[in-house]
Amino acid sequence: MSILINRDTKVLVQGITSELGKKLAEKMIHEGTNIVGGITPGKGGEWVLDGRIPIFDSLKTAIETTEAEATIVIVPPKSAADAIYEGIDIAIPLIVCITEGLPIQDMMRIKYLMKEKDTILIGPNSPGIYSPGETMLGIIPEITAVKGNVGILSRSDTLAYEVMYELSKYGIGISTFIGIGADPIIGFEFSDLLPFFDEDPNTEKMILLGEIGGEFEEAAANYISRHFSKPVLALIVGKSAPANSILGHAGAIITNNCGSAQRKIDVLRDAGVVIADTPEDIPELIKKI
Amino acid sequence: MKLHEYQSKKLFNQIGIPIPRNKIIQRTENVGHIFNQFGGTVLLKAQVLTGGRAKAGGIRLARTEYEAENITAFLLNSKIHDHPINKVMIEELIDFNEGYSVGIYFDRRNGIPELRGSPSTKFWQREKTYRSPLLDTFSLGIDPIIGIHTYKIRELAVSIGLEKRYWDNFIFIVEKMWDLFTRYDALMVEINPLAVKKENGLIPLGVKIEVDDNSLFRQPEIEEFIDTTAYTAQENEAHKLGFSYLKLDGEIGCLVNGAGLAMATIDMIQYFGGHPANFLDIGSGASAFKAAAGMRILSEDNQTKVILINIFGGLTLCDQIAEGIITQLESANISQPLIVRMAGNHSENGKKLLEKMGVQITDTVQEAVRFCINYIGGNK
Repeated sequence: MSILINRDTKVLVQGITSELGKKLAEKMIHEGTNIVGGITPGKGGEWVLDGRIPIFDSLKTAIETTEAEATIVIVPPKSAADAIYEGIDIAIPLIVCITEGLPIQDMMRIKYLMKEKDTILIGPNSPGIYSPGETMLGIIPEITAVKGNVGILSRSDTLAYEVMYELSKYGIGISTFIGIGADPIIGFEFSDLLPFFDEDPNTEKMILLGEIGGEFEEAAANYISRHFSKPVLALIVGKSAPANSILGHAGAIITNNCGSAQRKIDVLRDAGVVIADTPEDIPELIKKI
Repeated sequence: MKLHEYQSKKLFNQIGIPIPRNKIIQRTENVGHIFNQFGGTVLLKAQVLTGGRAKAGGIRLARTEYEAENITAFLLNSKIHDHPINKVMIEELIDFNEGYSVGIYFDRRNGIPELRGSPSTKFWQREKTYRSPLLDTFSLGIDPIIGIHTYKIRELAVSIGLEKRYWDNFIFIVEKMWDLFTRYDALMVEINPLAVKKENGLIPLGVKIEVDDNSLFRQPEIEEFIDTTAYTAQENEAHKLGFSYLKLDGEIGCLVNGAGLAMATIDMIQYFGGHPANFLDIGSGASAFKAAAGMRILSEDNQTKVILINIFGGLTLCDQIAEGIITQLESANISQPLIVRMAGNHSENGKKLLEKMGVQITDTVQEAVRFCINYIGGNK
């Protein structure tokens, strides 16, 4: 079993008719994900992927027909906010947003609106959710991750792939991986998702992959020290970053001494988290905790 | 994206916030004429995108036409913190009593906009207490959906000790600042100082606007403000290709796919005692063309003594990157030694291609990093 989704979860794809949308839908089906439909306004009534997947004009009609419980947003930045609002308004339980480059003011409004809603939003700028051998909701490539009992939460996608690969070399497998997204404002943060891993019987140990900027890691440390029952290992990247420069991810920036790697490492260590210095140290360390 | 002062002031003016009269010049020809037009005694302000401009001599007072011409000519031939001065703003001098500061900022911690203000230093002198201006910043959260309430602006006016007779003027200005913030997808709209003029009324003297890079697709007016002269050739090239690139002060050039992995790579260089020359993320799903372009950016930087390429094949396919590396090696004369670490999708094939070309390959990032550090160490 995976967190948030499983093989039976009915999933919709917002933006299914683009090249990327089609390619990813195909990939997700291949990984065992139950894709039941796609949304592209203006193309409702048509079918894609060799006539296997129906297209709808709106999320509303798609949900009425398919009773889907999750949606993945793969649309350009200019329409991504609208696609997310559609999901929030119809109260779909889970939205995963892959789109990179959503304007910050759009996310300010979405995050504010979400406070009073029950929808879980993963992303934007997230690679998605992945349980090896089970299901994949996102853009996670076929990498050599194996099924196991380590949960992973990460802000970065490529760093997480690297870590899963390193772990697989040692035969260490993954229960569920969730990429929370690399933007300054995201839906569910580390501290919102840790409770799911705490309750998950398949997760025995936890890895947090954090980076400079913001305070998601600090909030996670606070949650871990007070509530989390499983051992946690963390790697924080951006230790060598100069202040006030964005390092690739819109969210990776140190401003006014806030968001530095050292501060995050200190508070996580105080919360009892084991800190890895490099990705290649992780397999040895995770065996010990 | 930070806007130049003259760009920010243009937007302030357009939205209806009165600002001091100004003219932008790139040559000294008209300086005398403008000096007289503004009634004598002007400020000359270098338009550069760097902090500490006043301290570095980028804001100067000119009392005579002759002074104005001389200083302008001098500024146009100088640099501030390595930024060339291409434009100078000539601004009328405003006689003022005291200056407050007020701004609307993206508050990352709470994920909402925040209204912030500080009292003038004069105000605290009046109260006969001294406090650091930073400690006296008052802030109020703004509902990003509803917008800014007038009563909150009034609350701020009270907190910063603004006299009652200026409240309406203050509310007018802050409401317009909110219009600027939302209309231009800003992350910051700031006035410092907001001056109380001798002859009554408030006027912004220094203003700053920073716009969200992600919003440029719907901000054509701001996109036109991009000043390519403010960046190095490498930075402009990287920007065009959609890379994220940052120059650092070491010698080990690195090219990585994905920002998180790139951060981890420069951290490892530092951890093992080396110094990265740059941060370069060529993005996920990068092509052979992009790999070649990335290598060109690194090799053209004289500070780069050795090149480390770290690719984890996910959406990016390692053999395509290998092809890009080979194209670049064949077409350009790359003087720096190169080491490549590849893992993940299509890495076996990628490594084979590189081996044929005699390129050094490692399996772990650590080995690659150590190779670079040893190389630098041996060449010092």
